[in-house]
Amino acid sequence: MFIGKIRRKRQPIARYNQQIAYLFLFPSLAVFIVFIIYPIGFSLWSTFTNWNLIQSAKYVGWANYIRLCNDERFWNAVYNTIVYTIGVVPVGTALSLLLAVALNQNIKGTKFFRTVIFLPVVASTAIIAIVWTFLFDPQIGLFGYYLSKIGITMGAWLREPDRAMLAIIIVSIWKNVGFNMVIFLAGLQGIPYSLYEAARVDGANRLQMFRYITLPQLRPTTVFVVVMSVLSSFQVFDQIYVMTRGGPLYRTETLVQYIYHHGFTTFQMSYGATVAMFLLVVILALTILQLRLFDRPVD
Amino acid sequence: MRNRRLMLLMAVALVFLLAGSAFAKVKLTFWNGFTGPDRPVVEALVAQFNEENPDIEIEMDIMPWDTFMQKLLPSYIVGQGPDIAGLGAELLPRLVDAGVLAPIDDVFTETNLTREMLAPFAVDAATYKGHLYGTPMSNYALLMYYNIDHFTAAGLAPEAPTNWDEWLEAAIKLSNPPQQYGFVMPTKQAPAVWHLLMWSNGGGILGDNGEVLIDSAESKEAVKFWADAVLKHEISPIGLTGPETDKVFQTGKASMHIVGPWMTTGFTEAGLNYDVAPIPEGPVTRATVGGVTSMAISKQAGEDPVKRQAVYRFLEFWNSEEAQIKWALGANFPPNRIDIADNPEILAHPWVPKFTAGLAYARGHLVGTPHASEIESDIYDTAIEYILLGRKSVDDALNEAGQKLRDLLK
Repeated sequence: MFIGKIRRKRQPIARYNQQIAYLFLFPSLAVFIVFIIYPIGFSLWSTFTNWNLIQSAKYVGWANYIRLCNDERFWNAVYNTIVYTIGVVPVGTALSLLLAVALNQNIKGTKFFRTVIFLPVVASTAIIAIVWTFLFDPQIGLFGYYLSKIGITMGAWLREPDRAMLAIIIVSIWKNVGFNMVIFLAGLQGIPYSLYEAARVDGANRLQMFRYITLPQLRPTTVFVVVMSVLSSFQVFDQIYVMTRGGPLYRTETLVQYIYHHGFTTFQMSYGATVAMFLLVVILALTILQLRLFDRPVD
Repeated sequence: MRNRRLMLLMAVALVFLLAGSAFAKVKLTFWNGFTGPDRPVVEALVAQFNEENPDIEIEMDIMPWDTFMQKLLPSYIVGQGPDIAGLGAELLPRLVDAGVLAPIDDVFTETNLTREMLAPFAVDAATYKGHLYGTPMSNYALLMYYNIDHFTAAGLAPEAPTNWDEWLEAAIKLSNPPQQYGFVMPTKQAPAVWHLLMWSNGGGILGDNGEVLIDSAESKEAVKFWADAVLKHEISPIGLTGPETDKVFQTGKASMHIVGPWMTTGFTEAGLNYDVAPIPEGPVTRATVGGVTSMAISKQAGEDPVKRQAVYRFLEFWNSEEAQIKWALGANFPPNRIDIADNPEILAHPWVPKFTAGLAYARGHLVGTPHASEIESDIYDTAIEYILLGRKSVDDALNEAGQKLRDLLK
């Protein structure tokens, strides 16, 4: 009786509060619908058409998806994207963790090094890519020049099918390591110092402390870094567009490159959108999988 | 009372002022990709036009060519494209098929321009399915640049070779990789050097009637000849884009280079001792790539009589004798007007008469097909890249290219 009375009284207030909430949500919700939901819906619709900016779109059923399955260049792009991700994520994560641990100490100069390592993160990827292209250039580049002074000839990394992806991976790791390092640094600050003191009392050495305290305590941070790195790796574009345009011989052509190719070179918008839908599903699946795998509480 | 009258007067004046500016001035948007040393010349000419035509205002947006090409068609589709587009003539067919450009067949009756006064090749390149879609903004031919100091140092007469045998011999003699390359050749995203070599041997990519020539014996022979020179004699580094080949020549690491007139400024500023010469004659003929930038009108502007008139005035101005002399002397491009070639100022110019002479044997690269950009990136560039990287034989790569081309044109 009593409870019912309160409920009856509260309901209109709750509804009123909800309405207020929607009012406050409206601006961002509107932006979300106009710039996220509508484009995704439109893209999805266009994957069932032959929309190419020239003729008016006609319904073609599953034709784009069937073409996708038989498209060698598409599977090549999937392969390249995976190679890139495998190249960037483990090394990049480990390196940023090491740097974070190294720079988390009270030694002179750590602030300087943190700044230096973080600098590429705030620089524009396109500009960084131009600089690295210049560095890698065997005819006019700096690496080639200095290496030739000591008698080493450097090949044309970005022009060799077998090494171009490696060059891109190096640049990407260099570019992003600072961001991940800062996240790890924040994680490290959050570990209670008492844990280390207790371990020291128990006679643990530094390696054991790292293995049994730092790593497990950093689990949520690591999950965040890995998930974000994988997601951004699957969407890599700028550095490849500037440095190789997907070449040589399509060896650095990743999924987003391929989407772009169909969007802006051949103008086969509907097929580009089909590739984008594939990417969307893969990223969604990966995110769910990763969150499930890593979503265990810290011991 | 007085105050009120004054206010009224001011309001009336304001209305007139606003109305005057709104009705008298036709605003035209104009996009092009002249970002190089030619940019100030384009800007000066547009400023001059705006000054001489107070009733028209051209708002120009200059962006890099690749950005321009990617932006143009999507912008037109959503109704945001420019009234005037200065674009490579090879892109016209796609835009015409998309229905975003207006034909300008009456431009020679509505203006002082005549068909006869313009470079015929530049007018032909802008003709698609029997209609004219642009008057030339610029036209050029690729020529051979050579480094005079390199030739002298190698004990060669400081003259460009005149046929393929001399050319190859000089290229080999001038090569000392990786310090110096005899003839720097692009692999991709570049002026169509390999295409002009195919033409010189009687081959090509597509014939005049749309027949596939890229896998013909003549094309294969030409590509084999030069691919051998690159792979066996290392006359050129491999895998370069057009801008990269320019840098190699500009830094004195290459002795010969094929490119258009826009590089003269950069090479001169770099202090190179160089000259330009005709493309050496091939086994069958002498050929070079001629490029045309056309000024096209959007369909929207074409259907608006006021705008159309304004655009025509600008087209007329651009190809007027005065503007074309300024353009040629400032940008080092051949004038679009063939009737002013013997103007004394132009004749005295170090580069312009040479590039004008090149137009005599120039042909359009992939003009007249709506698939130009796909053929360029996915068929032609890819084939040359496979060959130069040693991953496919000339026969295999060009056979595949021919097959892809036939599939595309089906």
